[in-house]
Amino acid sequence: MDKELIRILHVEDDEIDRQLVKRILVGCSRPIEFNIESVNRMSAAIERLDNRDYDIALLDLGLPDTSGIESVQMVKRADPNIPIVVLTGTGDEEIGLLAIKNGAMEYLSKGMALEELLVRTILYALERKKAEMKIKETVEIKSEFISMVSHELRTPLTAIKEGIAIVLDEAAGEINDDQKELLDIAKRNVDRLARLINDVLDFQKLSAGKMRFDMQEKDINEIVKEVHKTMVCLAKEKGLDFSFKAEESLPKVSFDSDKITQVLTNLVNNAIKFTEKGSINISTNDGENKILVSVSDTGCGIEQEDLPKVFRQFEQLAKGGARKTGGTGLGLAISKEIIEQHRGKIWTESEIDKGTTFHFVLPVKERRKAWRRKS
Amino acid sequence: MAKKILIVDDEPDVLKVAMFRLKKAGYEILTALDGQTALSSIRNEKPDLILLDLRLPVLDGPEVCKQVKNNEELKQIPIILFTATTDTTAAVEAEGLEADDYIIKPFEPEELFEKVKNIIG
Amino acid sequence: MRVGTKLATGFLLVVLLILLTLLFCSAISRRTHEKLEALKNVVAPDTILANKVDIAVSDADHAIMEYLIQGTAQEKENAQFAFAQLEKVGPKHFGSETHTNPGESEATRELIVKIRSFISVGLDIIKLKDQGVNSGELLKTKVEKLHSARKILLEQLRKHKVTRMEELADAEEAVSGAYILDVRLTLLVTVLGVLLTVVVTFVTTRSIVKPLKALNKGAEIVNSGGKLDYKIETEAKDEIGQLSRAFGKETKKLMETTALVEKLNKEIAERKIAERERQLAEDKYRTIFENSAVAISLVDEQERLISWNKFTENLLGMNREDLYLRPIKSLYPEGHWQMIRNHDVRQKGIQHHLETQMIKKNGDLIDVDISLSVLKNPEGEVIGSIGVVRDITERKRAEEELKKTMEMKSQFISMVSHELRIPLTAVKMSIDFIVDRLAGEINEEQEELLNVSKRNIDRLTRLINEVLTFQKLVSGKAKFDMETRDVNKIVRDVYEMMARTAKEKKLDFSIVLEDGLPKVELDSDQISQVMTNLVHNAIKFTEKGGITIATSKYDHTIRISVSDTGCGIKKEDMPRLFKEFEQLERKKGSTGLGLSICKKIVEQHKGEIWAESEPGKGTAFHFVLPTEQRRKA
Repeated sequence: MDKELIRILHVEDDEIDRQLVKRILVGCSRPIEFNIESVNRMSAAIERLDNRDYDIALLDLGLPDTSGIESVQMVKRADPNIPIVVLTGTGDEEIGLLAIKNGAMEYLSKGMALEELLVRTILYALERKKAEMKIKETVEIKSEFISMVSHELRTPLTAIKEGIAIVLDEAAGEINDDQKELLDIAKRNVDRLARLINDVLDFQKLSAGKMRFDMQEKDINEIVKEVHKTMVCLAKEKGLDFSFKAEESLPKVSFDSDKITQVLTNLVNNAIKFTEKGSINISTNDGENKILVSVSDTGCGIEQEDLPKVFRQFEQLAKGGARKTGGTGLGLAISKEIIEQHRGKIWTESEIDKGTTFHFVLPVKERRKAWRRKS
Repeated sequence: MAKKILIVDDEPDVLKVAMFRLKKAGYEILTALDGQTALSSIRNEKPDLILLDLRLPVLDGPEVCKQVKNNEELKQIPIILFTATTDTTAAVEAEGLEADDYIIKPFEPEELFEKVKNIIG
Repeated sequence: MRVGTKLATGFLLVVLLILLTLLFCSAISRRTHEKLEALKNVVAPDTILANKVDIAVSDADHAIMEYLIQGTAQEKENAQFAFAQLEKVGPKHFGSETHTNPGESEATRELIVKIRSFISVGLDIIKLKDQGVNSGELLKTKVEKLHSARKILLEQLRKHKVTRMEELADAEEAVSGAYILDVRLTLLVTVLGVLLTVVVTFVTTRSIVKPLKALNKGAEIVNSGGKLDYKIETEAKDEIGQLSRAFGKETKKLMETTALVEKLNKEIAERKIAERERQLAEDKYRTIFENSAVAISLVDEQERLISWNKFTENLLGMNREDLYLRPIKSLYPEGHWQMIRNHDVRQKGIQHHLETQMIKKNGDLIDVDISLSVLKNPEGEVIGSIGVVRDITERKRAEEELKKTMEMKSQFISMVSHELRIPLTAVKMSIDFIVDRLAGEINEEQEELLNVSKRNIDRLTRLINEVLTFQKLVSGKAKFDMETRDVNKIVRDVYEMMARTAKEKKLDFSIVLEDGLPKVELDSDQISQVMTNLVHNAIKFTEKGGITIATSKYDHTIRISVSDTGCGIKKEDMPRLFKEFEQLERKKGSTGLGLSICKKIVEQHKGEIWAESEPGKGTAFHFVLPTEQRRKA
């Protein structure tokens, strides 16, 4: 029977602990061959990692030339893909958890490092790594899929939409009022369809981390004005006031104008949707190192208990108001994702029957480092 | 003389609706269903404008775009890209491919028409 | 020889030498002194004696002359006295035992003889006188004899003197010579003595120092961390030599000891490791017991708590008093403990897990997972049980969350599909209405455009359905409405639906159905979808020829086959066929999900799906569904 080979880099400065681990692994009764290389300093470990391939790293946190979490980070830098199992001193659960937060796959208290446990932890960490890689792969494939699906869905939409539009515009001939009405319905629904599909695809893309952002320095007030212009009719139709208050001389901020427009549009849409009478207002303000944009309405408000759920995908609020007016519940989730990818924050305040305000902030350029989305 | 527009899309229905208004407006419309045909058409016909879908069989959109733009004779022909992505990848791609404009599917009524008019009058 | 002895010897030798030297020197000086004394004692008295003799002779001569002349008795006495005196002074003295000297000079002896002869002449004269010999002649002769004797004596005396003087000079010379010699000798002896002393000292010292040095060197070498096997070369037999050899032995021992120590260290290390392992094992149990995130407790045969670990206290918020001898069933909701116990009984004491709840001190309920082991004595009587209780509140919550998320996701999906279907339907209906001329007349162009729209709505619908179906299948939320149906009927429905599409592409389309097929339990929508999909593909990939759907009985299954005369599938593409997202060729209007959906659906029905193909000739997709008999089997 073929023995599985697992190559381990063991970074440990205590001789006895080293022996112990070696003993345990070599004496393991499973059909696994552990090929263990030991080093007693981080510098040596990094050198090995640069020159050889290992399946897993066993890392003691108390090394002479580095310490604690730094050790984990250094190993990760040397080889981002190697799963790390951290061996901590007994009672050091906290640092173990911290290590995991910083990228270690597992931690094991040395006091618990007995054969079975150690071997299992190693195997488990390897499994997890494999699974992770597989997921990554799947995500890759999925994102390919998404863009393909995107295309597949939008192409027919194009045909549908333009076909109707041409007839509606009487470019193919005259139409009567009945026909016009029907075609209007059709058009509206195609638009709705398009929006929904866009939402879903957007969301898929965002969660897959495949959304690209085109960051440019712009004046946020411009965007606000645009959105206002676009949406004011809709508000008027519902008999609502729609105003905006733009603070002059706001610092310039780097953002993707299409996306932020999307966010604002979404917020205004919601405001209009949930307000029967009164007004809607967008305002911009200068904050410390950031700019604040607020969209407020005098609508029906959101229950306190629902506030945390508001930005979650798939959630529809208890009141069912959203359900009435259609929507996928993705709008806010998408907006949140977009804002957060701008390194900003979005939140809401609300009072039942009084109104709701959505705020988001975008950081001013200086503070931000080069933006990169982890995928 | 009527301006020639080559529309390249593997979707016949899209071709149909895309060219309707344009035809009505007096442009001469040529179509191609794949990248290969498109290129030969471009070489032979030298259209005044190319409407190019990005996903094409045989030879895909970006490749066609590149070949046109790298060709001394052909590079001055303006290209409008059809793209199905909503995010600004489209803009980026357009720039990356040296296209003159892009339009996101499904496009608004008249949107295509407007853009075409802008470029070739 | 021992060092002490050596030293002593040396010392003694030195002392001896010094003493000898001194002795020698003193002997020599004594001799010289003696000689001088001898001289003094011999020569001086000799000289004095000689003078005394001289005087005595003169006296005697004179006395005798007087006698001769006077011839009185007085004179005679005097003369006798003088001769006695002479006797005393001379031979007696010279010949005295005290003056016996074998080396006495000839001269002295001669002198004595002469003195004696003088004395005897002298006495003869006296005698003669006495005899009254007044013969002048005799006297004259005798006096002449006396005078000659005296002359001889005096000469002798003079000779003696001279000899004595000579002797004295000689002796003096000899003494001086001897003195000088002696001095020289003394010097020499002294020098020799010193040299010898030095040599002796040197030798002694060396014989001690050399081995000491060797010993020192050896020690240094060993000390500087070098060879432990360095041997000190020494032949010394004394203590130092012994020491050196002992040193050698010691270093050898040291080497051995070091090796031993190393070995011991290793052993210690090993033992330490073993100890640590043992400790860990012990700790493991202790740790597991004490520090587990599981509550372990032991109850006696009366089901009262008699032992538990810390976590138990934490879990329940109780302390020792609360727990000791507490009936275990009080920790569980009413009836739960019995249930747990019975469950175990049914399991015959084998470990098992059961999810239930426990009551905390404050009355709160916590979700737990309990694993019970009954303890029996050799007679088989129950003496207690051990329970391992895991707090699964978190897990349950996570499960709830997950379920909720899944719920929401599937709700979302249905909602999305719902949301999408509404506008789709609306559009479709509106357009149908117009195309069917129910809203008025339309021209050709308009009709064509609207047909385009319609077509694409269908397409979109299908696509969306595919994606949604796939999502549902993957999330396991797809509902399968299983009913016993006739497969042929479904085939016929599909045929009707797809006939037009096939016709549009000018392809033959036929169905070949076997009669009397047993009914199958299936979800008709799903199976319909599978068939539609297969037919759709067949049409897509066939340019000319035909498509056939066939059904047949196959063992305990029903087989449905969709075959075409299309372009076929390459051998290398076959394995990827049913994988999601894989598209063999980018063909418009597909999501790549179709076949993987088919596979999932068929497999949910406990069936199988596969394909056969010959590139350029055609393809046949087959899937089988188990009949009722088989399912029951």
